[in-house]
Amino acid sequence: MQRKIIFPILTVLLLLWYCTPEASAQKKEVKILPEKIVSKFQSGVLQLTDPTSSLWLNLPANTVKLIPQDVQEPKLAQPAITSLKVRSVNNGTWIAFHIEWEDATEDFNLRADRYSDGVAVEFPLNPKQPPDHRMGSEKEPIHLLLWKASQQKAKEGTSFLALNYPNRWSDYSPYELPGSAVSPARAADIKNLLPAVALGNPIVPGTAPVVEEIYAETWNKVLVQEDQDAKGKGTWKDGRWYVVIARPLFTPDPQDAPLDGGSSYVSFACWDGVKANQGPRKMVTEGWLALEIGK
Amino acid sequence: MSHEVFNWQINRKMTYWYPEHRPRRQFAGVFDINKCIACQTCSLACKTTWTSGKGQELMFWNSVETKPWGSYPTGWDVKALSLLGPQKWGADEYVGATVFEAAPKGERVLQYQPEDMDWCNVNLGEDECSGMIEKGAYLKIPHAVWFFYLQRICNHCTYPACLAACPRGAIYKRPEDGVVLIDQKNCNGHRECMKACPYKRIFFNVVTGTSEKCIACYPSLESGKSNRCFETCIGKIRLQGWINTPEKAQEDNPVDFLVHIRKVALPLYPQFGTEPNIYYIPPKQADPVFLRQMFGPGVDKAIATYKNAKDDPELLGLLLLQGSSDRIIERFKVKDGTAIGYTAKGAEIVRVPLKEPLYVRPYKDVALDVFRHNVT
Repeated sequence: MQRKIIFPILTVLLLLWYCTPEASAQKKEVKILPEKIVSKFQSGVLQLTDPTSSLWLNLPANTVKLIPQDVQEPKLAQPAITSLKVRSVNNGTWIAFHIEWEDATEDFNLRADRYSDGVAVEFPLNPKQPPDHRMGSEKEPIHLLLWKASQQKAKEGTSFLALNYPNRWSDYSPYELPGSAVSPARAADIKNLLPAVALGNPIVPGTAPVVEEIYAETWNKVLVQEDQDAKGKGTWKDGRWYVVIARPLFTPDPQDAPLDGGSSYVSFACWDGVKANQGPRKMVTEGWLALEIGK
Repeated sequence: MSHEVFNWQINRKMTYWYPEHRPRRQFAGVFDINKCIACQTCSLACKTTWTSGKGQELMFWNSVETKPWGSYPTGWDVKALSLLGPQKWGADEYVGATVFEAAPKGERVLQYQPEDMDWCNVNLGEDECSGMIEKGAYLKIPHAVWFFYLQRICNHCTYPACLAACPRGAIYKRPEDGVVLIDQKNCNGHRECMKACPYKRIFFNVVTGTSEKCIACYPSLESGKSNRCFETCIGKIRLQGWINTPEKAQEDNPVDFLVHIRKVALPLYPQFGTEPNIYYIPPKQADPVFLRQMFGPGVDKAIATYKNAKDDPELLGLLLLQGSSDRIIERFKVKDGTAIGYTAKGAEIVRVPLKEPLYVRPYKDVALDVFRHNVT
């Protein structure tokens, strides 16, 4: 009897809550665009080391339009990169996306007032019911592959400290006396002076992978995945970025979007460092594009 | 995502990114500007303790700048105030906009990002006074030409702009003591916090790619000891403790007494709306108009009360207890010409006399048959 009363009351309360502004803010718009990205099957090893190779540039490309991210504060006030050229191939084991865009400046530096260029490829974890394409929604996660110019440069050996302050003078570190080996105990001390390093923050330049795999379930729940399988490489040449981002088609990682069904959805985001694009201040596709994986 | 919260420093409700959620107790400090000599012992104590690592070369979580011309990062206050526009106080409350209310569309906080060079001149404008000293000038209070030192650490605000601005939710305010921290494991280096903090107390580490800030020496705090910058202050200008909201103020709580009871200690730029928890006893020699802009309309009364400290044993006693121990004085009492500091549980930490004992030697040393003249 009690159940018969409680259930309708709860239903009414739920409906009332659903009409509140808080609830409507959580209702994300899911948009599917008419464009389709077809990942062409290509046997053999994929070209992942030279994004300017004619192997890539001779492939047909989709032009993907971008708009400023305008749903979550901080929003992007001024448009930056407005379109990308996207190509994709797979060899039955790996899938790669080649992304090309016009950018007059190569921005990879990191300091208080310098931001990095970057691009991301995103997939829904559930291709049957894709969530909001910008950062997923609660219990409806997305899988991001993020390439950043700064991380690539750091991985290649660039020190942002030396780059920005080449003439800096500092006293010797008490833990690193010139000409003497650093003991393991001292090495631990040095690490502790860098809390983000000591705690294993996955974005530390030089330690982060060139393409970061991220699992996101809303703007506040953005996790760098434990298993990092993605690869990539970017080259800036004559005012254009050429970036390849690749991932395995099949992985056991539950945080990876499944691509073994032959189709899914994909969306893109792009950051222009010179315009202080970073985090949510980014250009995004208007919605999901269909992804067809050729066999 | 705006919520209505109450900010007692501006005596009104305001909007904030998150709902009001005050910590169980709030870390706070009182700095007596009148006593500071800008020796920078605090800055170096902090530097050697927390920011001697790589990528922290330009970081001073504690700094002391000369007002009106000094600033670190360069021009932080002028830029923040200019952005905010006119800031008007009514009879009982602040009627202008806070940095949250003035945020442009699409932003969480009204903000600007300092340039890298702004962080390179930590002691810019040191000891520069407000203007030229005219011929015939003489000493009066307030001084015709003046300067004073402003000691700055993170304010561990009740409504931190940095916390509101972080898109990753990597900044948190500890419920046990109100200390505001950046989670170094989850910070993604977006620098929204750097932009948002109107006091510009967030720093970027180029080696780790993350933002860093004052941690209120929380390991000391947790053991009842003063923070490094408080403990090492040779001018004894700093008092550390816990602050309550005005309606819960306790007269034997040192911070409550100075802020809520005697009202001699005031927040810096309360009009920003973040409810900062470092309070300042304003300098009595400086221009009151300048001070009103910095500390709000309570400045004149605060200075008058401070000047009267010689006739106010409780206030005098508490000012003398400042910096007298490396332990946090959580309660105090003035009795029989002595100020006594206690722990929260009532254990005595320190006692100081209101008047230094004075011994006057006889004019003549009879034993040696000499007069004690100072003939030099």
